[in-house]
Amino acid sequence: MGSADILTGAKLRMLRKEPSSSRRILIVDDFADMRMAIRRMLRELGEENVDFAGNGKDAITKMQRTVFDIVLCDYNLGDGKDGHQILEEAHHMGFITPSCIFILITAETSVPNVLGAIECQPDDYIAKPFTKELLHLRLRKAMERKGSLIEIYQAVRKENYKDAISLAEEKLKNKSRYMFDIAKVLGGLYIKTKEYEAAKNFYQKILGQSNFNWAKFGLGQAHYYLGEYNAAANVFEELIRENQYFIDAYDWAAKCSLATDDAAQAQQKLAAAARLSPKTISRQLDLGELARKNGDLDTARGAFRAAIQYGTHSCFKSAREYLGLTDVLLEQGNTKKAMANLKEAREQLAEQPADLLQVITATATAHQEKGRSAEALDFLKQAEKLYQAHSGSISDDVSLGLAKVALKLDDTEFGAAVVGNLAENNHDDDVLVEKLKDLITETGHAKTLSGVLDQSIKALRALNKEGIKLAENGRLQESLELFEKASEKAPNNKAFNLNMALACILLMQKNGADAKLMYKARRCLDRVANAGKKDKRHKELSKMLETVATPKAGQGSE
Amino acid sequence: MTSDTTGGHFKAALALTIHDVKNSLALFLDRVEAVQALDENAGQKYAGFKYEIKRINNNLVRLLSLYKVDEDDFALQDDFHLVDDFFEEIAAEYAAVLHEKDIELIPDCADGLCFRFDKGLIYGVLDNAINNAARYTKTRIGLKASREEGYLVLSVQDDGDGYPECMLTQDLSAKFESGIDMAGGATGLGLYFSWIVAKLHKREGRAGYVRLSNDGELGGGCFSIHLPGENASFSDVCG
Repeated sequence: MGSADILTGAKLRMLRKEPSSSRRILIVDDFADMRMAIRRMLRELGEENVDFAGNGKDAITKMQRTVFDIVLCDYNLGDGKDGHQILEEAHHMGFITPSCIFILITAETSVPNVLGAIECQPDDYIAKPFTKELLHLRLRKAMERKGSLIEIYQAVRKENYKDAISLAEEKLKNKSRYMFDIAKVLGGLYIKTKEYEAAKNFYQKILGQSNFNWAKFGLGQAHYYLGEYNAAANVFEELIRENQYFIDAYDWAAKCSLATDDAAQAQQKLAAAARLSPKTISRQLDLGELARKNGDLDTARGAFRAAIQYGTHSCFKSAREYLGLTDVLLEQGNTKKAMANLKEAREQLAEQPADLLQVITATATAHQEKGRSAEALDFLKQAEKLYQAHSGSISDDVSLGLAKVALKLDDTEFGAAVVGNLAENNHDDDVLVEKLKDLITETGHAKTLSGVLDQSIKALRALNKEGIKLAENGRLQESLELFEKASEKAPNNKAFNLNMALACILLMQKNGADAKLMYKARRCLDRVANAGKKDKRHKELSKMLETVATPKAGQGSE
Repeated sequence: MTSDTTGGHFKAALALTIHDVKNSLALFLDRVEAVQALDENAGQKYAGFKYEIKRINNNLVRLLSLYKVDEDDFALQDDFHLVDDFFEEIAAEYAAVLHEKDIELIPDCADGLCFRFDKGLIYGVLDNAINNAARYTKTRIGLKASREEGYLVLSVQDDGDGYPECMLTQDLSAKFESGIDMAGGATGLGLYFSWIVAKLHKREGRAGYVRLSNDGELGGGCFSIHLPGENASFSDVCG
């Protein structure tokens, strides 16, 4: 069947690997016999390079170590994660390359209808039991399909969405067998790049000709982002009517209800989705937080409990579900259980310092509010140790909470240090600076601290201005040195990091690529990204850096 | 999902049992293939084993689907599929066993025809029809996809003697509306399943249906399932 006419050059080579090729394949199944059975089939197809995993955790570890070309993953893995979760997680961690083929093996012919993000869908489903002939055929088809979309996926992976879109639009003009797959990806890209009008147009045109449910789903999203909430809600309701197991449609119907201030209905929709697919942690968290706002504490408690239960084996486990449950329990007057829950959280999150710090801070706060200063101070000590060891990876909100409890407990020295760090790293963030001032006043430390705070911010502003001026006057080297010095003191200051990266890039634009400058610029941008503060400017600078880094034709430095 | 009724318990038990039996079947299939690989004179003599394994599996799937429909807990998993790909898979699965019986399976589908249906269910329907045709055909089975006003027609044809008159004239709706009787045997069950699956495929007020006739292109019996809807197609959606 005419696959050759859409495949050229490199793609053909990719598909034409002869038997005993070096394709790396991972088989994930909880039955050892089944793993062996699948391996035998693969052997007969000439595939020798096979690895195994017996559960989700194992699978993730293996994928972290090795880049696999093909992953064959059982959907139902017993107590741990299911196949969808493994795919989602591997994707989240960046372990899946654009050319990787991920096939879910299911026991039933039908599986829950999960759409999720465009890049998080398996390439195929295959129902047990299957013959080697069928496996072979499916692998071949999946590779063909992937081959016809590979450049688009590669551009997506590099976050070159503009390129990905023009590639997809171009490909769509030649009517290939895979035009529907391409269209699906293209629609998702319009949404991702916030081209909502284009997305709406595109999906409407498709739906005018064929009633694809992904197109309907995309149209609902486009309506939503354009603020057309009623139209969006209608689309999602229709999808649910057509298929009561279309989980994503419930989530989006809930978003629409929230947007039109119907929190009760939103909760109802989320609850329905959570019943259908209880293992998705982010949904349980949303449900818990919404129910708590709605005053439905029992539902909230159930949702947070579920999030904790299903998160135990997941990379998505975080302080959020534990603290949500703690808040609900405290609100219900169940202090004892709340404290026990915090204890469990400290054990479960022991290896995630940022989350652990958040939990310890909450524990200290809870003790402090109950008037148990000795216990509160104990936990504050632990928090201080953690904070000092990991200050680079602590979010501003967590730092604020920590500063607050420290100041309330009159540990002025530590409290002031945290406030100082926050100010140093965010001197240009007016909202945060305002929050800091409020905090100092609220905890009764305005007298001692506000002068220091004001002065430090003023000094940082002056320094930043000076650096910019130097750069504007073409004194790039001096500007770079100034920002370098400044960021030694405040390593996570966004403005300093971005300006330093810019100085590096400008220097390279002037004098050509340079390994040292490249490294410095990357490190600055990474710091901003790691602090979760990526913004438009960060993106622009990343692009500029990439352009500088790409040697002109014929110069090939790699 | 609620499981606090007896029905809920049974459904869970049924689903889990089928899941487990499927695992057994997959391993059984593996053993057969392993033995086959060691047997230098294998030829096609293992095809029959594999065929029976497949039949057990397809029966289980059919049972579970019918149970869910009965319990009103059924959602059509319909999506657009490339029909030629689908046929290619079916042909690959049947190649060995039909070859053993000297029967040729001839898929016939326009390149790139894309239509909306529940692949798992329709697979069950075609599987049943092919099994049936294999019993009555002489040399060939035709697997054909064609378009009729507002419908996709998937047909399984053979070059046997055709269906007996009484089967051609029966009113399937009248026959099945009140359920199935045991008199029809396994053939009756297969036809009942096909009739249910056709009915589940609804679009804009029109439901699918099945037809038995003797006017196929191969001269024998012709089973066809007619699914309402339109081809997937679009043009000029960009810009």
